[in-house]
Amino acid sequence: MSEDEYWKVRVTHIDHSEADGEHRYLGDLRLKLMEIADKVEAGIYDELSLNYFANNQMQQTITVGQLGTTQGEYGERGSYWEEVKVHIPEEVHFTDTYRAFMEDATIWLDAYSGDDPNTVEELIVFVGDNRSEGDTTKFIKTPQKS
Amino acid sequence: MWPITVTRTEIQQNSDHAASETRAKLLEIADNIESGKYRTISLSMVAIDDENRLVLTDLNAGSIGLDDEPKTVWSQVSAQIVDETELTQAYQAFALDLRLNYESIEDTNHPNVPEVVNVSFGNEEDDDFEGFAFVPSEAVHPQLKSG
Repeated sequence: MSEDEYWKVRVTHIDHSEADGEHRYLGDLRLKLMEIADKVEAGIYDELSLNYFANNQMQQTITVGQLGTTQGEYGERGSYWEEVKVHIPEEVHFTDTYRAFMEDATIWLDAYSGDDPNTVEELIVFVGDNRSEGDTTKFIKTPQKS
Repeated sequence: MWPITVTRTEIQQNSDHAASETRAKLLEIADNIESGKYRTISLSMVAIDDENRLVLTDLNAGSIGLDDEPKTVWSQVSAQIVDETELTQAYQAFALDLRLNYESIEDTNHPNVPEVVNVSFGNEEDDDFEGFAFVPSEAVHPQLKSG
């Protein structure tokens, strides 16, 4: 994909943080989710859309869901969620389905550093496996350093 | 649509509720992860902070491996976008890609019971892959629930 296909958005500040799985317990995910809830209730996140997909290999079930908060024209806030859970008996279909959803809903990051290897000058963020090109990809660029 | 044979489909919905109910759903997800009901999970989030003109994307994932060792990873990006139009467009574009689309096709013999459920993520218009059609394999009809 050429750079021209990215939608360039001018930003004044960009933060990128991550944690790998080697030093994190599964329970840390609850903390991360509660951090999201705190920000929703505090009004830091005016609007939110969160997708999730989960599987249970023993029961061969896949759960696909979405929840979000909205803010109306006069500041009134609300929430919604919807969830679809299916039991797929055929093992190959079960695995393929999970992988396909994972590709579509995963956020991908590509960071490019400039002369300073510790400074991210460009960051490409997009959703999905990039099956569809063009406007599904997002290009976020930090301002040039003076 | 890619037809997938399923033996059971459940749809749950909850709309027009207080913003604080988001926490209840997130707690339920956390419970399901820690109890092992969800062996693996991936969550993708996009949020907008109007006051600070921030768009935030967030990916969280948890899994219990074959060695039963649970792990979690997360990655978060926040970008401050000064131009109001671009701020709104950036949020809407991400939200569109992360949208969960589904439609239920009712069984004509069983009103209010979906016969086929089509499910996909994102903006289908730009995507050759349209999603999944979950088709019950037997006479086990899925149940429509509402929260």
